[in-house]
Amino acid sequence: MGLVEVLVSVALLAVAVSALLGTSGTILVGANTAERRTVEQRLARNQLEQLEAGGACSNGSAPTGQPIDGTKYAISWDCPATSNSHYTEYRVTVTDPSGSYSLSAGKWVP
Amino acid sequence: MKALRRLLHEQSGFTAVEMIVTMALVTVVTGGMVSTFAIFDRVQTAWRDRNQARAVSVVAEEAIVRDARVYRVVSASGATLVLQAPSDGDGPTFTVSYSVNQAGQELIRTVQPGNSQTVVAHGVANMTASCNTGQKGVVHVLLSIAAVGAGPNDAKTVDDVPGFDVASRNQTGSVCA
Repeated sequence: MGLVEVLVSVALLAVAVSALLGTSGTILVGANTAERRTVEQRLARNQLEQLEAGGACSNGSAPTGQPIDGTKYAISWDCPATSNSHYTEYRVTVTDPSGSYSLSAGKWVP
Repeated sequence: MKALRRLLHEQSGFTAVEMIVTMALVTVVTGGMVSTFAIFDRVQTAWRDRNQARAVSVVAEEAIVRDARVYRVVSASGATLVLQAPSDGDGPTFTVSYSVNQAGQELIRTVQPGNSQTVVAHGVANMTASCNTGQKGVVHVLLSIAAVGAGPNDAKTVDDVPGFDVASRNQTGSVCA
């Protein structure tokens, strides 16, 4: 076995390892995205709690706070029209560079 | 003897250059694999701790939200959250407080009078309760979870960031109102 054979086999090994690591990298990216969605859901729920505790709904956005695990999240909300004047709906959207997540909740206002 | 010499002479093998090149290449490939798996290990450990923190936090949140929805907030400062049932005017009232037993790493719910204690969640190292500065009537709770880790030397505290907000429905006399 000469140097050429050795080089060829190492090159094949490198290709196989690269494919393996590339797949693992995809898993990492997917898991990181899932982690961000989870944080977004929590932030959206917190914002809904604050909106429900407040009075009349009006569209708005929260200043971007401290980054969470290195990611900054933008929070905005609006109030979709409802067919019942006593029913207020809140819709909160949390966005980060990889995507966004929305949650809605409603409150009966006598 | 002649045959042995001929045999030795005819033996083929790798040259030093081939061995050096091969070992260098294998070292590079293996080094890449090892460092990548080390990164995977760190990331997986962080996920495991965070998942544990969220699981514990969900259990704790359920009890706190249930009480905060009904009772008014008497104190939400630091490691203790105290809620009080509103009195109807002709009877005694009672308080419900949440605190952490740091020795046992438990979130404790205590009802007074009577000092009735129940364990709400295990694995809680600390709790920070505060009134939300952005919106009146909202309590913010941040739990620090005692992550078990892979062994006794791997235990650590993980904050369940960003914590959770809960709107207290009863604002009469609430410190967060």
